[in-house]
Amino acid sequence: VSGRLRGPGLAAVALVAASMAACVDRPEGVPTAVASTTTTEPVELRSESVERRARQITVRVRNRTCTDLGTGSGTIVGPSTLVTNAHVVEGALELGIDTWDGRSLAVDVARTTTIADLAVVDLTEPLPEAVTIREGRLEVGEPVQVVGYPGGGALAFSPGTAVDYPVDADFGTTEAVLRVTATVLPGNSGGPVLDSEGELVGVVFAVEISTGHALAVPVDVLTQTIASGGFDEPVESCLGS
Amino acid sequence: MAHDDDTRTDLPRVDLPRAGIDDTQRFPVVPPRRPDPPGPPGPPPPASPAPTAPADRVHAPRRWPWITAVVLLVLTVGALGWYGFDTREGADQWERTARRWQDRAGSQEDRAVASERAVADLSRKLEASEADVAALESRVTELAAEKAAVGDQRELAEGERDFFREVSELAADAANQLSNCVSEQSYLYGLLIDAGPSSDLNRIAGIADTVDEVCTDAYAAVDVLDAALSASGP
Repeated sequence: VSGRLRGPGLAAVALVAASMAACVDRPEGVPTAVASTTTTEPVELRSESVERRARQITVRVRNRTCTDLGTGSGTIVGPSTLVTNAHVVEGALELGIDTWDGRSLAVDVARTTTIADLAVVDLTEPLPEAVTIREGRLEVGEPVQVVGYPGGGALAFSPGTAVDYPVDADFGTTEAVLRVTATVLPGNSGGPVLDSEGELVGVVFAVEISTGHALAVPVDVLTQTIASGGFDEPVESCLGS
Repeated sequence: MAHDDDTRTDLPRVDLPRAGIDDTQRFPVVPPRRPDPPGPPGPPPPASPAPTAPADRVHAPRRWPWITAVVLLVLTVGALGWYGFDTREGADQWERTARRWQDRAGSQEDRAVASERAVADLSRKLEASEADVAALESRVTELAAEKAAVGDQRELAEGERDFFREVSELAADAANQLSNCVSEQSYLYGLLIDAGPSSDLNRIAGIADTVDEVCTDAYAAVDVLDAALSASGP
């Protein structure tokens, strides 16, 4: 039987071999286009982006009273709203707002609150940028940037870290305040304390003489005050109106 | 077995007994054997060596393996030949394709090098632009600070203007009222100089009261002016 199958077996092998040869893939034409793997997305350094954004949302506040002229800082929190300190706008005969690039903004109305050293100022025209308010408090030890116009001069950044959240009546409030190691000067009042993402975590309102640390109203106090409609006291000018 | 050798001919013989072996070898077609005519019994015909049945079963299948082998061999040779030809064609095509790919790879490499150079150039330009932007932003910040300082000076000047305007108004009011006071006092002084025994003392006393009121108002205006001046302005 094996002898009778040898012949057909050879033929079958040959046919299989021929079939395999026929099954070999032939090369196809050379592709005319090669997929591009080059990315053209613009690269921007993150720190520069945060810095640019910080510049855009920090304004300079000028307050002329009946007797003197004071300057402070402010933080744009809405399309036409900024937050600053109550003591920055106190007794204002005239308020002036200047942006980092020299634009002057007209003020509509300013209101303060008794909850903390905070005030909101409504502007007559919308602004292109507003700060992002961080949800939740800054953790102790996190890096921060304090932005403002110290001494009424040019916009400046002051780095630091979060220290703690002390509660002390000497700070002029019953709420906890944010203490950071950043160096601040008169003129920084009302300026933002930003985290590494550029989100608002506090509003500077004082400097602690004994330590040199900056004191800021925590962002949760700010959001609670805004949500509760706490900014309900119009700023009284030095003329009493 | 042999009959007559003289009767050999090239034509087939129908007389089977006379047919020789040579004839059958030349002419394989053998007519069917006729039955022997009746006659005296002769010697029996020689027995032909007819194959037996088992011999048929052995010899007949032996041809088919060879035929099959030849056919398969032909098929195999043909298939191998076709396979070789096809393989050669494929190899040539692969070689041509590989050459084209090699050329394209070279072209792509050149393009990649050019792209890298372009990217490096753009990166340098971007860095230069970033530096320019940073310098411009720094300059803008400085100018904004100067503008703000000028604005402060303007506000201070406006404050001083308002202050001096207020002070001047207060001073004018005080001066006016002091002038009234002096006028009233002068009038009273004249009355007192010209007064005699017949003068109306009640009238003089009334005028003196008026002088006191006017001068009191004047002194008050001076106090207001002093207060404004002591505030020293912005």
